[in-house]
Amino acid sequence: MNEIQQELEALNVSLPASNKAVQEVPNGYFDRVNEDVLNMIKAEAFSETLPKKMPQSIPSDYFDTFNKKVLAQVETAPEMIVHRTSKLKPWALAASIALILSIGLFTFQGTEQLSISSELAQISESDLKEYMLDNDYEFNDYIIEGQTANLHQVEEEFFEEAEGLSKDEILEYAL
Amino acid sequence: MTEEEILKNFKDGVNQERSLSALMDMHKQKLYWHIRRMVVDHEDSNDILQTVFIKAWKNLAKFRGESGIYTWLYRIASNECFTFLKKEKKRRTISISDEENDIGNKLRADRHFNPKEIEWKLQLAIQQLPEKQKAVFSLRYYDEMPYSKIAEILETSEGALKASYHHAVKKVQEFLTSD
Repeated sequence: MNEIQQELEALNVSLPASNKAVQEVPNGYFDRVNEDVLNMIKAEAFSETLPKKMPQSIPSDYFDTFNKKVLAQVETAPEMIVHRTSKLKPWALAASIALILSIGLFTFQGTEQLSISSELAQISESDLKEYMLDNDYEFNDYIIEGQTANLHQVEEEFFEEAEGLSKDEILEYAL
Repeated sequence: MTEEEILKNFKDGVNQERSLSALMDMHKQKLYWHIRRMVVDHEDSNDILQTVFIKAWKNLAKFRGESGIYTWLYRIASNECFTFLKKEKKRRTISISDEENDIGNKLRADRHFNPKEIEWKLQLAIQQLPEKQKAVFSLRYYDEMPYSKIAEILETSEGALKASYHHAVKKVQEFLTSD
């Protein structure tokens, strides 16, 4: 019995006999890690030699007059323009559905009720985000409203709302 | 006026214009330069900055304060920049002349542009970076934000951000030394 095992026994703790790591590391990780760390250190050192001054010009009174220009716009704007009548914004649903359609994850069959949670779950957050940005959806409005841009939450809400929609209802949203 | 007071005023529906003005005074300059580093042109930066504060005005009353207002504003600004750049990219692909829209040419068009000055060379180098790396570089190098804050703004893990920043610095270095 080695020292570690004796210590555990003294503590009256039973652990598996082998303490070998079960996780894997990428191939060549330990060969590369020294170089990666050195590169990071060099990059930090190099960045310290760079200037921070921004050379671009701006109108001389720009910041002095900026507040006035914004306030003139908000005076005429409604206090709240984002209203959520549904748990899921139509754009999010439309984006998700259009994405599913575009990558051909399922096909419609008559007017049967659709179960698409599992299909949607296969779409990564980055793909969904990319799709929405590519299609100019007002992604920021969701961020503002929810205070987070958690697309998993969008997906969860989508699951709740989209389950059981008919083909016609889905097409109405998606178009 | 503190951020807490600003937030309270918005929730209570009192002194909202004065509060927005105070909020703009706190953050407009840093946000402007972050946006400007992303989109280059002053007029585009101005449009985006105004949009950021108008969106803040419309939504501050509902702000739940999970992150600081400062982080929230940066997140809106960064996403507005990404959306703008995507649209620009699309527009460029259908434009007859790519050159007039070239982001480097926007920099060169500045009346103070001097290709010999390191500040301008650095700006040109930054424009070679992919959008996300550009944002990371701007937030880390110029705004000196901790990775934890940048992670909140760009919704990326700290580890990935560190790697992204170091790639960005390396590319900047290569650009500057190859010149």
